[in-house]
Amino acid sequence: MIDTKALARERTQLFSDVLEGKVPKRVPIYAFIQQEFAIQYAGRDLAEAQWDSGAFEEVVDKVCQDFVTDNVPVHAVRYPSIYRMLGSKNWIMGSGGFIQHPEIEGLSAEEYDDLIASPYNCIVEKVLPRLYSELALDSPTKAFALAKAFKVYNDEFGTQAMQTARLKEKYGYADVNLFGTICEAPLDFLADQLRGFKGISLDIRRVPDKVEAAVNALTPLVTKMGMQSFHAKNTCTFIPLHMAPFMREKDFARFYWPGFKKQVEELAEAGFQAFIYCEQNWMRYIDYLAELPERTVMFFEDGDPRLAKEKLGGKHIVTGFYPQTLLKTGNKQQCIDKAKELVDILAPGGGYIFGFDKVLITLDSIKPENLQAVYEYVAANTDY
Amino acid sequence: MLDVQVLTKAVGDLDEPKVLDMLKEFVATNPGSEETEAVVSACQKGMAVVGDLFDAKEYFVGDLIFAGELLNSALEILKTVMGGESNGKAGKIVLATVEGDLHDIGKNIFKSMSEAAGFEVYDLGIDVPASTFVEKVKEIKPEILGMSGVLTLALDSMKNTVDALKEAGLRDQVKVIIGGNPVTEQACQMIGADAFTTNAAEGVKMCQGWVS
Amino acid sequence: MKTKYYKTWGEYKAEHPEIDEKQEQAMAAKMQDYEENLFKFIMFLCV
Repeated sequence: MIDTKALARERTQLFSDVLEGKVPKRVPIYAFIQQEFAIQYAGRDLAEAQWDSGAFEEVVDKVCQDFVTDNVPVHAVRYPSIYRMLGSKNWIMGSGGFIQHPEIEGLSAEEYDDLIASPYNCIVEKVLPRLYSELALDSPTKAFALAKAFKVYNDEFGTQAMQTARLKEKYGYADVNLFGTICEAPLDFLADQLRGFKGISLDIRRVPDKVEAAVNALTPLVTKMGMQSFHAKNTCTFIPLHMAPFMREKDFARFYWPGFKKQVEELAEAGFQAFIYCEQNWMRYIDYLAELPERTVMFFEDGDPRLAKEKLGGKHIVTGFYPQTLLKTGNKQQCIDKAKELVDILAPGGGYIFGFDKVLITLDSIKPENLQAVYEYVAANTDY
Repeated sequence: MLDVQVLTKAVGDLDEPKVLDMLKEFVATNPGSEETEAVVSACQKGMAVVGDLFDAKEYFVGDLIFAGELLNSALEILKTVMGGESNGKAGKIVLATVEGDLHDIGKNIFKSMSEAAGFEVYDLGIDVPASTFVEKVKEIKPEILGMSGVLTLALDSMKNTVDALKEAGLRDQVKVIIGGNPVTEQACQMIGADAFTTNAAEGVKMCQGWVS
Repeated sequence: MKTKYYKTWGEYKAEHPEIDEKQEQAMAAKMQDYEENLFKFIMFLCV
């Protein structure tokens, strides 16, 4: 009989140590697996199970049984219920059952001045009705749509939290949540749903002063978004970073970095650790990353782990770099060898959480036996 | 007289105001079709410069997007003097983002650049199943089929599409090019495509090679 | 935040001078909690 309470205490200590900049007993394993993978793994239908609030606990339990991690391995980010109630145009279930985000412009190029004058007014009055067709309807109808969607948002995430807590207790997982709260860097917020990838790329060259002013106006909003409701143990504010790899450095330095840095600094001042996902390759910006407040948790996709350790080790906490595709194309030994290689580079001195380069979303991205083998290896072979 | 080298440089520099001013002035002189072809060619050369700068990591995807828009605007201005024969002269491309995938930015960049290069592009949109591709190939008889995708599941959809073309006896009648984040040499072989790229400008060059 | 769609408790109270200290003690935390929750939701819809 495993003492799950003792196991939970041990695992929690691993994360507390790493996040506080101390050397843990061994390298902690944080799994970033999205609900879609778990649904497929459990053999349920994707389009159907995302509507079944009870399905989460059932499908995640199967993942918990087969893959040994230190955290509850699965989380859900988006629910079709919220998006359907609002008539979403920006989050759509594709024909395979995956919720995706088509290019959309919530803000027109002519509306920069409105956004700059009052970003929240502009979001409520102009952006949301474009992104969500129900919010463009007459006053009582849109109020009812928002009411339903707000309720279902609270219910779905609330249910997920309760189910997660039950799984945590059942399997003795750590008290840790790197996805405690989500926000975006100011330029990403402007780019993702407001101006679109295409729109922002044009705006940066056509109306640079307005882009800069918009970023300044949005920074307090996205910072407030990242403030957690209360201080919880080992809980981070997640910030997925999008635009930077697609920009020239001089544009990054002017439009991306200052607002983002300010945001992370203010979160740190309020006692919240940022967990930033440096999507694609951030190596050309690594000196910038080093400037962020200490013990920022940095999740890397592509790049050079040695460079990351050299520039960021000691001050920050690193995870990622392990190419998830190897779990699909490689054999067990190759997968284990890769884990060893990364642990050898990133673990010394602490400041390292084991994880892959991406969030695991689809069953066919990996061979399950490889994932199992890698987690087992890291759990058993990384004592400090 | 428009200096084509200056135009090429302005396009390569992504200097939108300069390019559009030059073209508007040019069109106002009521140029003949030969002169116009030279100007279109200068724009294409400028796009090749953009592609090279992208390879050299001086330009990034955001700049490619801007380049695509610049090209669209340039062609809008030039089409009043371009005359029907120079449109779609290079060949026909049926293009789409494959089934299950809703991403289209890369596809749209490729489309702009191909149109500038004189291709007639039939854009089928996003989340397009293999059967639709096959229908359109039968109907339009293009020289080239282009498939785009960003998600890893796109690779399976691309393979399904190529298999469907084979089943319909159409595979030999088109060249297939695939583009997007997950496409690699390995993926290209698995899918059975003729070429792959993650650089739209390079993709257009490949297509030009096929039709010349 | 310059907006008519979000108020701090102080701003809300300024618009409702009829609320006395005892009522404020009872209601402020809960009222503001939902104001913050809705703000997070609205921002979530944009990411």
